[in-house]
Amino acid sequence: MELDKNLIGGSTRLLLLALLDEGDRYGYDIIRTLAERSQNVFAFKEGTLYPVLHKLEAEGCIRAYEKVVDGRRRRYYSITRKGKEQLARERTQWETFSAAVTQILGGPALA
Amino acid sequence: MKTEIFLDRVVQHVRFRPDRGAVRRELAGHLDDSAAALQQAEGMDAETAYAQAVENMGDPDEIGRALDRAHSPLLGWTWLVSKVLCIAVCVFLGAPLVLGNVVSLGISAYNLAEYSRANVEFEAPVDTWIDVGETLKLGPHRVAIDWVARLENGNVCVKYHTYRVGRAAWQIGTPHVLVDGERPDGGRSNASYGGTITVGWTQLKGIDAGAHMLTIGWPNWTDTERATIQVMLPAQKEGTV
Repeated sequence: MELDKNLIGGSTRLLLLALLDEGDRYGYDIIRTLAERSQNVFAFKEGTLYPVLHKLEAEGCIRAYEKVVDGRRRRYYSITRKGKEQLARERTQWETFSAAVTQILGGPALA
Repeated sequence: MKTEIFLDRVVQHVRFRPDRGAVRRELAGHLDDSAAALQQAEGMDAETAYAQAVENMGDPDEIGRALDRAHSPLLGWTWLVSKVLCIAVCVFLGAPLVLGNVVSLGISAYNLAEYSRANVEFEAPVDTWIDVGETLKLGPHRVAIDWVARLENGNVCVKYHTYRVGRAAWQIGTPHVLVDGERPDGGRSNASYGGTITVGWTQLKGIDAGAHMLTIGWPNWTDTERATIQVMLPAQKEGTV
């Protein structure tokens, strides 16, 4: 099942920050990991990832550096202190939001 | 769509030109990775794999416009110009400062070596040589008294060097020399070479052949750590005057 692009849109930043919190990654690696972990539910147009990454970089949430690995020059991203703070906020927001959605979908409590 | 055409279409939207190269390299790297994976997993030939990789990227114009929003030209130029200005200021102000200090230190080292005992040309043969090697402390200034030499013609030469250990708005002059607590009346001559370290000497004339206590420094200067030192000058050897 492929989701509507906008559905992931709101949580893209949270997902990217969470992935980069585990370690430094480059763009293609991020896309592959997102696809693997979501079992291809998050299979969006790959190029749209980069504007989001560059926006996060401009905001100072992540930092980029170029490194040559196995003869290939890649642009790695690394989370900053500010990014970690942002991640904590967005994670809390997401948990509150998804708990509320689950409750509504579950119908009125019978207790 | 060909890879190059795709990349050109993306970067032409980025108004901040200095960033275009990095964006292009990053996307090209992604296409290389993506095409390599497709060739391996799906057994595609290179051309088909690259075409598919470009297809998976999405609309180049949409990506380019979104990237342009993340690369604000105003912020970009402000950052770049301030960086260039900062480097220019450092180079134009810092380089002469560093160069000046290096040259001054070099000259000082040369003077210290050149006017050590071996190279001083005295007016007369040396009768007595006294290595002193003590340092006066006068606020931020340090005055090291290196040696004292009594010459056979009755002159007494005091060699010193001065340097600073802190900031000072004032210079330090030539140390005074008292003979048995009195200012000698035979006159004196001074010479010095300035720099980070100033090297100099002062010569008293017409000191009689007896033993004397020399007081070197600034005897009137009381509110400082160490303003004077005393050096015992033995009597002149017999038969030289």
